[in-house]
Amino acid sequence: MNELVIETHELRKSFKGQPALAGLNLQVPAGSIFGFLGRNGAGKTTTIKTLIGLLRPDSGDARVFGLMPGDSSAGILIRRRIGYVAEDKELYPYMTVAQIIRFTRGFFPRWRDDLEQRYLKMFELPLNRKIPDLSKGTRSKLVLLLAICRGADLLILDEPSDGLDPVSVRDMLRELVALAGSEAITIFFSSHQLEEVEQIADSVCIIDRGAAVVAGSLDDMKTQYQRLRVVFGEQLPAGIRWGEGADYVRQEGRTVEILATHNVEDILNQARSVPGASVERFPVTLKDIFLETVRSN
Amino acid sequence: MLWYKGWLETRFKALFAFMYAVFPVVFLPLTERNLAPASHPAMPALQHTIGFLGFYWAAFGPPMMLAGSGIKTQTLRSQRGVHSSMLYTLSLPVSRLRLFLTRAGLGFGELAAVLLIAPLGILVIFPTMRPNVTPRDLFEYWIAALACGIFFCSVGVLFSTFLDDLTQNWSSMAASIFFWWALTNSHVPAPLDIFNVIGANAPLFTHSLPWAQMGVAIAAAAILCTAAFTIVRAREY
Amino acid sequence: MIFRLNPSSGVPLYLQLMEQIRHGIETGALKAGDQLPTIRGLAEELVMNPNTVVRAYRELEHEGVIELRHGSGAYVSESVAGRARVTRKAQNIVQSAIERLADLGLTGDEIRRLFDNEIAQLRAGTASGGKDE
Repeated sequence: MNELVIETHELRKSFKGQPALAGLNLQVPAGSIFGFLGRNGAGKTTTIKTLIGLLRPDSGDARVFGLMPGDSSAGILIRRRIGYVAEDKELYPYMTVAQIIRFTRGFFPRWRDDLEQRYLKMFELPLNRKIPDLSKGTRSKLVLLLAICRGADLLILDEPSDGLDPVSVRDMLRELVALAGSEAITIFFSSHQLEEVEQIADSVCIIDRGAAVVAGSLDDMKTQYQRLRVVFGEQLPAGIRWGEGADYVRQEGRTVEILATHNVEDILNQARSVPGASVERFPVTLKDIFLETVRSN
Repeated sequence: MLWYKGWLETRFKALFAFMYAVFPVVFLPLTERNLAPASHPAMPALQHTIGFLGFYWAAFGPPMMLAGSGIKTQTLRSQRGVHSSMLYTLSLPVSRLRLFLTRAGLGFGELAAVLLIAPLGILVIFPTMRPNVTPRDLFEYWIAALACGIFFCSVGVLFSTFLDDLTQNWSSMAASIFFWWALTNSHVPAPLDIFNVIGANAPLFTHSLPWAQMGVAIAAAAILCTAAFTIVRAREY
Repeated sequence: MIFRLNPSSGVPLYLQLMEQIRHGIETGALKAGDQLPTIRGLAEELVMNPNTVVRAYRELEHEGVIELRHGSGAYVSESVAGRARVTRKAQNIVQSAIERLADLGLTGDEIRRLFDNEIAQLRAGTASGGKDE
């Protein structure tokens, strides 16, 4: 599937002079489960709000389903096909669970009654309880139900597992994966829980200071990237150039940690050629990639 | 579904508004006070009292009805950063125009319902008036009060786009008082004197609809609401 | 059969799944003609991305290890039956050879170097003398 469900090009946005997005380029393929990662304040929520149409970019392009989000008819078309879970998961304090389901359902002719029944039972949602009286975990489950039951083509989830206990997290991940397997749906989610992303995402993008630092297929990254640790016997010879592919290099005393994104063999040979150096190589986890690319940036 | 949501949101406000409006109707006849108080130098006592009641219902009433959570005309204003339930609403496939119109429409609708108290209340409080007014006069009084009320509601709508709840309430009430004072104590051209038509020159006395004043009130309300919507449309969340 | 995948191991999940399916075939847990779980079913059971399962299955089909029959699912290839038998036999040979070499006093590294050497020569098309059993 080559179609891009979400696409941004040099997206820029500042708030009161502070840049939140600094030329973000994002490409989310249709049918993927896409993990959107970054530290707090890196620009994840700003990006998501721009995609929903809550914010207007200062410059650059953002397209969802090929359309521009905003308060236009195109924007409304987009929102008809999206399920959104906000970071704050807050809903109307004057409604009960049943009322907000009834309210939301009125906007979506493709509402999935079957999924509604399934999740009401699975999440044990109390229909007649007022929303402020729900626990945080229950509220998270409710917003998930409201997003999924719309019959959306795209789910945009901002920290969906926030407030959920481990069993509920597993249930949520399993439901997302089941959806991905049975419907033509794209799932775009941001999370601090790297293990969750690593488990179900096929593509990821790591954003730092408003721009993408790493993006692509997770499997490809794990295959192509390598972590190298070079320990030198004496001081590191000054001005050593690791060459192409050694994109993230960090030195601590006599140890150099390299995250190589390609050209691994050449870098290895160069490391081994330094007398007294010992070289170890490790496979990379998503956490390794995240920590190295965000730290060095 | 937006009307459903709006109703759930504001039904207690509406109830409060109803009680606010009914209060003088219940209270005044119970007091032993002479309901024709000391004469205002410029107009007969009865019309003075009715003028005050008109102010109470149609000018001060709307801000009072919005007291408390003030959500009725909070329209799309965001507080303390962004309140996420607003994010939920804005992520639905509805235009901001439709959201605004529904909110305003519901507000005006509730106002209209509550203001039904006004003409009926007059009859209850002032039995002496009963022979002099026809049902048509009562209807016209209601319409005139509604036009006036919509103007003051719109002031609140505009304020709520850039003021927080509490400040908006006090400001709207202050604005009402200011308008009353300005319009009754200075010499404005008749069409602008909207208080006049819910007071001294109410249809109860003139037996005709005050088209000019109503037109002015509605036109001013439209301008205020358009300004409010422009602000709301440009806002970012 | 039960698959256990580790998302944080650094090895891509599709490779892990492929390896475990191959291992299942070699040990006989999966026999020729056996049906593998559906893509959706396996994805849900393991809580992993269905695209990952698809990729693993496709790669295995490419290798001839499994067959994807349109409309009915994924099945272990008939041709692997013989492979599993051979692999088991080979495993026994290697096990006994290593035991005997260890008895002679060779270390693991020495044994490994011996094997590497023989394999390299096998590739080059020459044999170094006596046959191993």
